[in-house]
Amino acid sequence: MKPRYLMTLCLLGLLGGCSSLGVQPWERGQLARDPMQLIPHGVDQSLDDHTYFSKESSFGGVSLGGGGCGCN
Amino acid sequence: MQLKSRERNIRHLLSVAGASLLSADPALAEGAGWDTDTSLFYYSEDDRVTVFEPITTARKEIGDDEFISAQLVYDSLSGATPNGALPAATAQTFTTPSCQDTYTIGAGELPMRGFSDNRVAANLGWDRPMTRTLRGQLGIRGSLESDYMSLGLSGSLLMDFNQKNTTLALGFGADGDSVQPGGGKPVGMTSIASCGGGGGGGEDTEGGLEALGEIIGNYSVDKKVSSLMLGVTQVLNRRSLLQVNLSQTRFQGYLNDPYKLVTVFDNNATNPTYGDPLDYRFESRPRSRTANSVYAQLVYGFDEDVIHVSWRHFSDDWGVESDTYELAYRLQLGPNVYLRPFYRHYQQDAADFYRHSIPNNALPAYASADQRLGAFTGITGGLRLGLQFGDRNEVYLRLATMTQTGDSHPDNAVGSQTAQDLFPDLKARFVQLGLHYDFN
Repeated sequence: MKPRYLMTLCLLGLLGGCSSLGVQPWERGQLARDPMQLIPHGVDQSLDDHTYFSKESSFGGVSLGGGGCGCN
Repeated sequence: MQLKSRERNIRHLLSVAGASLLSADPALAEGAGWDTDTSLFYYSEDDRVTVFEPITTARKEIGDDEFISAQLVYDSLSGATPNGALPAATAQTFTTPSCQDTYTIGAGELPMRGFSDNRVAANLGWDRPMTRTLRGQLGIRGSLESDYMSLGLSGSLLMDFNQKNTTLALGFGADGDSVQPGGGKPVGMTSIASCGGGGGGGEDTEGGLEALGEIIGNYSVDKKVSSLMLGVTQVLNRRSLLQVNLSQTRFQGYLNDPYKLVTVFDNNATNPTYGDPLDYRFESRPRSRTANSVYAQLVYGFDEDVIHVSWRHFSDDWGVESDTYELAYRLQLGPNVYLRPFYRHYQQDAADFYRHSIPNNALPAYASADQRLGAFTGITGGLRLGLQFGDRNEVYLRLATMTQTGDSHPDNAVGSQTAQDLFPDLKARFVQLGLHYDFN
């Protein structure tokens, strides 16, 4: 099975099996801290995305990206 | 505190599928004023490109949990970039893309083309709740440089499940790009002697700001880009989150780099010039490309410190395949100071049509000698120092070094090529100084 199809199944499985994971609303203190964000420093992420898009042939994955440039 | 922490949790989950805007800084707070983040970024490669890039992002609450955001970027680029041709044992002369001028490269030197350019890019976004568990976001974006213009839009939906412990994100992006090199768009695999069939006769784009107005007037879609993302973020426990994203991006249209060449070499082993350059062709890439990626990230919070670990696997129908591993550790040194070292390891396999050069007796339909399509390893290491003040403000400094190394002496080098470095290392470093200030 191609890896991406396997990953899709895992993703759906994660959804299905997720009800046993997680925390109660009053337990979110740690998770709400700024350093715990998925992207804690957005400007850094934008700069890195653009730099690596200009220097490599891979891109994206983290978010939907920031549009085009004539750099690749 | 409970309500605020849940809202902030939702906010950062928008980074799963948000446009550049939301991913720009989902940590920015709600309030009546602007929450801003501004950086000066300076990037420099050994003997190649230098970039100076101020960037600013701002976000503001305009309604009940409804936000608008904006990002503005200016790039000033200058220096020299490899033109795709190989170094050779003798001096080489090339015509500029518009055929208006020539430049000569010394024996044994990597052929590079001098250039300077300016780029402006802006994004605007809007996000708001649609139901108690559904959030929507729309964004528009554009960028402009002397020979390229891009316009696009994006949108996403986020759905919460399991008491907001699970979030499913679905997003799309669409861009229309206009490619306008000074000499016209070269036809792939044509000789530079013919100016690539792009007509020549134009001006070599000098990159001045006055040139930008012409680009806008001549905008037409030469390249279409569309992307879809499906993501899941799952709270694992009080200290950790897992995110998994699947993405697909499709490109259609003119995908060549209009400035890149491929050396045509003498493939006759009996010639004393075996391996020497005979001609140069403009590179040629397919007119379509489909790329897929899977990305997974784990965030774990210690009492003070936080670690981010991620992996991305990328593959496309050009044969490019890569794995990216990233690690960042936030070390809280005191109540107002932190250090965040980071490390990135990138491994790329070459595109099917990547060639360091092409034989004169067997020209392929597609070929590119752009090292960015080749096989290489990229390593980045650096750190960010933050000095916090006020409620959520900080001054920060980020430093890093980057290297790319490939095979300098591949097995398929022939004749005089074997004495040359066919994949010179890329070495770069950057410095970034920034201020995050929340006017709320």
